[in-house]
Amino acid sequence: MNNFVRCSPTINYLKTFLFMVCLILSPLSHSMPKSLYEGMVQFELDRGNHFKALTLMNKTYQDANHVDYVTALYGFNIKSDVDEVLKKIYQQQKNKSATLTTKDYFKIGRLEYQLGRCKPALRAFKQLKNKLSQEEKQEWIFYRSNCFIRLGSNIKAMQVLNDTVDGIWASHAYYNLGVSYDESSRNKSKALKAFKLAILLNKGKTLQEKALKNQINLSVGSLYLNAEKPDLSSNFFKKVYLDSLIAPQALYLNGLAKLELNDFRAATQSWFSVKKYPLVNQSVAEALLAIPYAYERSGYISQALEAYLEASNSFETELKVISKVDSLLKKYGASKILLEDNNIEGLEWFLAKDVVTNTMKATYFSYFMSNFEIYDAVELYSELKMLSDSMQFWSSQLKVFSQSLKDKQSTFNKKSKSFSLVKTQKKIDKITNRINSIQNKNSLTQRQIDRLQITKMEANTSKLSKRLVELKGKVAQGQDQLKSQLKMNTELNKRRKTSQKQLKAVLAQLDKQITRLIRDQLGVLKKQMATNFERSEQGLVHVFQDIAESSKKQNVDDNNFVSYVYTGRINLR
Amino acid sequence: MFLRRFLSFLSILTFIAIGASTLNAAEPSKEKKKVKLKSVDPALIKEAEQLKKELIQLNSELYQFEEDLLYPANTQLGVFLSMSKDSSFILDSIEIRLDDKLVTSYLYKGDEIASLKNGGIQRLYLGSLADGRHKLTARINGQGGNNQYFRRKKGLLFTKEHSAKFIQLVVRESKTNNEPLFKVKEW
Repeated sequence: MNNFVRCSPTINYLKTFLFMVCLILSPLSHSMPKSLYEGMVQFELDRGNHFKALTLMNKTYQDANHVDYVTALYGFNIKSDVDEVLKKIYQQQKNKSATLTTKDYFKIGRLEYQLGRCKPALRAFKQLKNKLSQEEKQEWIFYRSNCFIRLGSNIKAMQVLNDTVDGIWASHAYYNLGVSYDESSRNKSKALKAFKLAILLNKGKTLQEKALKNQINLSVGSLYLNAEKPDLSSNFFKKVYLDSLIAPQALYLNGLAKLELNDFRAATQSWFSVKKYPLVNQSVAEALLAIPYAYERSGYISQALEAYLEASNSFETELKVISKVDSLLKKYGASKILLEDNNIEGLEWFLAKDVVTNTMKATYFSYFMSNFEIYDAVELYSELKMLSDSMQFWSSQLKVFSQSLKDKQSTFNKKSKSFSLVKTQKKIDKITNRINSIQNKNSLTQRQIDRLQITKMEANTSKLSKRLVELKGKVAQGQDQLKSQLKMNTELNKRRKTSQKQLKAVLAQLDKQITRLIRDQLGVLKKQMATNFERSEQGLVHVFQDIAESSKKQNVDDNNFVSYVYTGRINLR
Repeated sequence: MFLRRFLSFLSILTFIAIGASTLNAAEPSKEKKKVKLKSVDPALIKEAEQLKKELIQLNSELYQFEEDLLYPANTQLGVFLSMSKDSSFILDSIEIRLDDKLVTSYLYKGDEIASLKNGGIQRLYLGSLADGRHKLTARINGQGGNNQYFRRKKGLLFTKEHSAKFIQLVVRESKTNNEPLFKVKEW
């Protein structure tokens, strides 16, 4: 500032002049090369950031790239417009008014498949034969074989899979075919063959491959168990990783296989290891009930009684937890209890987060998310929440912009007031006159004129005069631009506020509906748990009856034993 | 009796959902198949979809407005990255320096690399720059097709004139030794 003050008035004028020129010459619309813009949209689209892709897509892009547009719409769950855009694509295809690329056909096929429409999907995929890379071919084969399975033709699906392929897509396709054969045919050999091929094609390195391998092993094991080959089934159940989601099922079924082999000890060992998993998983409940059954069959009556008591207590405790979770959902709603990070006093036991994934909240969350209706509703909620957060972000940004524009406007006004065009012109004229008078002096030699750079000075003053004339018009324009930017800022902020209000209302309604869905699901779990509890209690009664009957037959006074067991039960509770 | 009950449960467990559209193998579950809950009100879904569309449009306008305010066309500099489709190496990270000052860095994930190889272009940096001569330096780390880690540095001296400037870094692979090559394209 001090430097500025110390400068000569002419320099001050020139600085102000340049500031205004810079401000005015900033055009408010600009464009980047088409290929860069389209590449940016593709980048977001391919990595699955559909919201960003849609934000980047302008109307021209949407009209010229219907397939990209519809892919992004579907990806961001705006399904109401999908059919309309697809219709346009098919119409254009029919009229031959637009050419679809290999990538486009692939995207259409995948979209139709995801929409559950296999016939149009197969029609789109048909256009791609021999035009795909090896990697794309795997995915192509997966969708086609699955479509044929859905349409009820396992033979055609098998034919599709006969093309030499490998990798996770092929493994998944063979797995699905195996499941289809298992369901549709009494002869399980085809299903088994498909499952075994699925295992062979699965490298089991990535998380997805591991998850699929676990699933295949569980299916093969179950298939063998159903075919009364428990020894073979056990080998497959053992291959399921203990950290997988289906580990409780595998362990429980492995116990069943061992039971079939009359190896009660191994059966109970397997069931005991299921106990560490959350009880909301029905396999865990079944394992808890299976343990006393195995003891009973082995003749260990007291262990059977204790195991029934343990199961009964576990179910009773879980029923209390279910009731508590239900009352929390009723009081606070699903968003506060399950979907958002909250610190509600007294609820730390449920809301606690940890590095481990088996916290109470995580257990129930996973259980609820296994229901597709709840999953879809929660996905919609999270998308709207993301939009709400973005509106919150823009709220602060627009505030900053508004302040900055106001400051800019005030500086502009001050500078333009302190700057007089007439005075500057007079100064330029004065300088021009002085240059002329120097030039007209007869005493100056040509060499001296060159050294003083008179010609350059003349040219510069002439340029300044021209720019000053231009500036006159631009000063008014600059003020208008700042005004229009401020107006734009206000308008955008107004729209943001309205949208945020609407979002809040929709989120509140959605929260209510998710809460209802989750509480319904919880009701089902409660019923299941109550049944489990009843089964354990019945088991207890059954054991007591057996003891009483055998005692009666053997004429042994067992009253003391029974009273001992009852007392034990009371103590245990 | 008990065993039969077990086996009936078993038969339900063996039912595996087919036709999964994603690669995540879904957990077969008795509860999942049995429970059919009443879904979310379709009118609410429709309202949410309409709102989403409006908000996409609003976000788009807001981004454009921000860009116009902060990076006017006469001072704008954009740096982009693209990769050739046939390159076999994996990008780990990139650092962009402008006049020896770090302006951005980025760590890559698998889906981003796949997207770049598929023709996607990433905007690495958008900023304002004064007219005149400047130096842009890109430092790229990654793993080559020959399983060797590499680090490459590419410098570019450029002149920023009184209009927007776009610089595209193109990563390619040498056909002779599979080593990464960098080409710079000025727009």
